[in-house]
Amino acid sequence: MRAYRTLVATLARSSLREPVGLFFSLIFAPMLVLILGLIFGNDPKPEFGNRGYIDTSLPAFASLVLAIMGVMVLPVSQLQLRESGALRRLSATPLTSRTYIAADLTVNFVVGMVGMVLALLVGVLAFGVALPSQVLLVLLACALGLIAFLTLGYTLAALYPSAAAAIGIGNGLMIVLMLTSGAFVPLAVLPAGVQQVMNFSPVRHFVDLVRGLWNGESWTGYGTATVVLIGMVIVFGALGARLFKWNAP
Amino acid sequence: MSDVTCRDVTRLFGTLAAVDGVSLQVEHNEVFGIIGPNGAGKTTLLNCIEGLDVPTSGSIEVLDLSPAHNHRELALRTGVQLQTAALPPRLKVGEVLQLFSSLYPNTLPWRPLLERLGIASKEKSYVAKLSGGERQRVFIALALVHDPELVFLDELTTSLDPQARLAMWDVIDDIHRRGKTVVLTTHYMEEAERLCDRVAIIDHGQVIALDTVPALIKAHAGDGKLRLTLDRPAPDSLAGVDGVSSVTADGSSVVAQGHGAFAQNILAHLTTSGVQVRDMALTSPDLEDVFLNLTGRSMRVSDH
Repeated sequence: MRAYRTLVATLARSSLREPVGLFFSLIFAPMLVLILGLIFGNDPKPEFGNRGYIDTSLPAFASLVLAIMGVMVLPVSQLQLRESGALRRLSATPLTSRTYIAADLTVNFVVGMVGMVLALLVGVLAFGVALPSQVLLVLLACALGLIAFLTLGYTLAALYPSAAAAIGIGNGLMIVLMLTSGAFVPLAVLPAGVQQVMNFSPVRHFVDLVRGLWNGESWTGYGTATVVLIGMVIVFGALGARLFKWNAP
Repeated sequence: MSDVTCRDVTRLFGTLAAVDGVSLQVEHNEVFGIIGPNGAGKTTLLNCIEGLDVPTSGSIEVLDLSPAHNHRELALRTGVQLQTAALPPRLKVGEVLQLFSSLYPNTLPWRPLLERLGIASKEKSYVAKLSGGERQRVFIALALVHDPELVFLDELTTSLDPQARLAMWDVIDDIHRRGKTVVLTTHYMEEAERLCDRVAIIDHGQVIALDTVPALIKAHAGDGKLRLTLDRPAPDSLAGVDGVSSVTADGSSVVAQGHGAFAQNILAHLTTSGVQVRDMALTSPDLEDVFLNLTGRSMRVSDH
């Protein structure tokens, strides 16, 4: 337990002192809400079902945090630790991979939750989006989505060939996930064919779930989204834990 | 009981044998050097002994345990300093010591340890901002923080300036005096001579010699080394002089090694040949000479 606690504190210091990673995990999504909100406003529009742009898109902005952390921040930092030999040095101590992974996920989880809540709060405070009646359920859905994408990050960290490749491939994946999140292009205005394709994006299901819960709908109406996210946790969690490597090849 | 025993250890990478049939034993509280040129297989062998790599064949015992199977037990009882030493970035010295202390059930107080290593004033400095010598001291502190019985140091002084290297030798003496067994790799022969009770010389993954430094020198480099500058190209007949074991000539410069009265014999031979000596130095041979004599590399012995 002492190892876990100290490792959490140390990894948190190491990542919080890195301005670029910190910007993408904590500042980027809230900043986008602010900028796009100022550009497009939040007045009710018929194409959003007589609701505002931010009203409709806010969960999608929160989903950006998932995409960034899962496909970029977590795998890139883990690959850098592996390539530098820092993980190898840690592996020459009694530290188990289980404790290391638990501590690393804890740090990324806390940072990701703060990033998502900040993005949601900007919408509420700056653009008057109504607070959800079931706040806890919304947060629970955010946590589930974040865990799903962090486990994806662990799998990607094992699959990406190098930190440099992770940045390249991660950028590509991130753009696909961002476009399919509905943050920039509201899904409602897209043709039916494109919407069909977007059903394959896990981000899309996360956004649906959070939007529904935010609007006071029951979680039971979101079976597909729940299965997709829990399925990710199980599949990528098992893969990520199994494929975790201390050493660079 | 030996602290480390390697029996016929081989580590293949594809078809290349980085370590090729190495057998050796390290006794308790000895400073044991694994020496040889870059790429000889020193680090691969050490990684296998540390349990960070697994030999393709052969067996290794460390403190009567298997490095491949008793990882945790050995991690508690051995300390390592790796050649490519790295830590999570953007941490301070004190934070790193705190972290590593938390990973072991029993540890030394780390502030006195930093004091002993002469870096107590660096506690609040970022590891990345330290000089090469200071950073190596941090990694030594991390290797010692759980008071291990056996310490592995891989190329500890590579990339250090000469002064920092001398200071590091005192650190290793201190570890030795505290009753630890030290296994180190180096490609600096003078470092091995100064620090090691016994050395294994490795070349192309194989142990080509293993003994105390004086015994290796006596067996493979003779009693002395004579450097001469002559007034004309050295005569080929020098290699046949009584007591001479090797001669390297480069024009009028000659380096001869040998036993007994070989130096006088050479001078007498030069006198009778009418060759004048312009400059002369008689020194003790060192490990460098042992290595050159054993491998023959970069050594141009006159041909007869």
